[in-house]
Amino acid sequence: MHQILTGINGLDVILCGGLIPASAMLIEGPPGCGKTTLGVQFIVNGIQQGEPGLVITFEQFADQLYKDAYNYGWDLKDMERKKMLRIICTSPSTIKDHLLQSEGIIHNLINRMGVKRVLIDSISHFSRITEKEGPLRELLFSLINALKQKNITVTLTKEMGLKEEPSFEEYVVDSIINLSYEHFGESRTRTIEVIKTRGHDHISGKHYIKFNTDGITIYPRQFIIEVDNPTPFADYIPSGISGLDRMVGGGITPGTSILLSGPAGTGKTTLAMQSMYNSMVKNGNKAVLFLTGESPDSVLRLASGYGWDMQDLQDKGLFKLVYHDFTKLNLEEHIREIDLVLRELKPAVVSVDSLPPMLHNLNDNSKLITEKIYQLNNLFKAHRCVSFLIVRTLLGTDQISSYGEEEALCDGIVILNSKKYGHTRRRSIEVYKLRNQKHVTGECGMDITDNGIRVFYVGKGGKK
Amino acid sequence: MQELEVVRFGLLDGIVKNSLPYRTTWQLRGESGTGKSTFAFQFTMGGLRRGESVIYLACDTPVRNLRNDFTSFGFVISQYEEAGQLKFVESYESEESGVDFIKDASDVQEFIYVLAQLIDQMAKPCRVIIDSMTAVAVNYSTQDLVAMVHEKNRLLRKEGVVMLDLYLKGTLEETGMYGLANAYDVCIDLYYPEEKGGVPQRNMRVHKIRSTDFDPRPFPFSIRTGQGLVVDKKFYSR
Repeated sequence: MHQILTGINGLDVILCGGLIPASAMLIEGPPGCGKTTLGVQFIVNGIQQGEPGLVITFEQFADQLYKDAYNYGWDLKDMERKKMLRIICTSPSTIKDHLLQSEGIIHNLINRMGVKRVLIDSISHFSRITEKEGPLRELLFSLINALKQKNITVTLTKEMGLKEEPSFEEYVVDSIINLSYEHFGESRTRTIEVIKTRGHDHISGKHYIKFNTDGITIYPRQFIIEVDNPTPFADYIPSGISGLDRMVGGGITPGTSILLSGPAGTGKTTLAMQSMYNSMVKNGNKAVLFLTGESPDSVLRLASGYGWDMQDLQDKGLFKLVYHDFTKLNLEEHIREIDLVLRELKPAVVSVDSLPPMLHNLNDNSKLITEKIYQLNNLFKAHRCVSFLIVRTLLGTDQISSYGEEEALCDGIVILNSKKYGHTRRRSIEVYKLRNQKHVTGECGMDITDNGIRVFYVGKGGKK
Repeated sequence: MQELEVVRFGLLDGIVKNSLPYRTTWQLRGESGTGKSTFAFQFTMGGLRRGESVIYLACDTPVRNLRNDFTSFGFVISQYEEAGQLKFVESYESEESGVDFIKDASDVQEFIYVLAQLIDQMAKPCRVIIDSMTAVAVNYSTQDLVAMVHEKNRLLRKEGVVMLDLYLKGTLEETGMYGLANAYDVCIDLYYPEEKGGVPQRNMRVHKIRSTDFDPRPFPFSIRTGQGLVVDKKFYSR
């Protein structure tokens, strides 16, 4: 099936390939949520692909539209000069008259320019002609059909307050996009939801959108990760901690996600850092630390305390630290960022330190949390990274994860713990689960020395 | 059997009929003052002089005292230590002494791990001496100690490695000691026999050697500077 790309970042992904040519898409939503911008972006992207566009607006004067568009780097005036775009500011009744006449000015314009995309902003104004639903529906149907017959793809915007019953417009168009506001924690974000697409699939649910300098970007909730030619790492990535490597038969298979869990102070950050450091220094791999809990300073200080000069590795381009204040973190955007960083650096080992702050803004919504962890895991897997997802558990409990979901989603679980023996406290490590890899079960002693973690396992238990 | 696979230790010549291979674990038990450490020094020197490497784990006394003890018995070790052929490990003092150490000798796993790492690093053949296991044993119940020693010997009994563990007799329950003997290939006792008047004479008795014949009778011995234990091997033929 042939589809035309809207060219809007992320929209074609959630539309599963774009729109069907000569179809009508309704963009509805409350004021200020980006309906016009999205519509104009659709037109501009068409022009950039060589498809002339027409904007019919009942709301704004052209000047305002030029100015707004220019903020996103779209020079509409220039496009008009090049006869690729025409903006018509008019009234609904004029449009009705012209469009429904087969020889009207607008038809001539469309024919002359070879218009392929039309934006009507907004159809709410048609109620100025009549408020009766029957005639309105007929009018809209005729308008859309007149344009479709000319092989034009139409986008229409519609103002909407609180969600109402489906309106007649929704039956007339082929696809519907709903823009709205959502509260995530204390912050409010804009979201997009595809309500229907006639003739092709779409990714359902709400997706986060952001206004960037080049227009709107949509961050698909379940974006499909395709990595061409993922890095061919060795059969397994050693942590460089000899005891631990022996427990798992030499190292971890690339593409394995490991939940690294344990109470505070048991060495989770250290273990992940040491594995990354060793992988870089001993095996020439690259590593990325996605930090949301602690500050970069404290983590780099921790590393240098063990003699691991992460700054130097960062300067050499082997290591990258991506830090976000978790209170301000937008997860959808961050996941997209993670993907970009992985594509750029191609690391063998990554660490998420730690998972709960990264998921903080999901407000304990367990369904979303599960989805996001699944998505993160898939992302790391697609890039063939060994990933450590760090979670803190409570001391003295049998708790393995923070949300009770991670243990099923991750390929492996490594639990760090400590117990009191007389007056001393001993640390332990346990490979609780490791899919498709032989490993030693049960707790094994470990300690943290000036040079990092030592795992007191001397057997050959994990031999494949 | 190749030359390298045999532990050369003149002290047992004549008492043990055949040579003893590496990959064996030896237990030396003795009362206080019977010469266990001297035996261990001799075992150390025997290896060093043949070009073998030695790991000496000091659990009862600081390494600096041990070095003095070697010297006072007429054994010169400094050149071997400098060459890295002899390595002292300590579980008695803290890390300040500058030798490798075991932080917590009561932690079986750390204990075995540190020794395993060192054994891996040292050239083979290698003699490993633990002087003494008694200091380690006090941290365990008899049952746990037996399990710990079995685990240790299972994991550390490697090609080219012979281990000698010293035990102070009387500190552990006798019933436990029998279970312990199973973890060893060679068991030797040093003791004073019941006094029948005159100067007490130390005795050595080999009471177990796996897969070779030996003379199970007690042999009197004396301790001489520069030589260590000197066993009267002709005691029964006179």
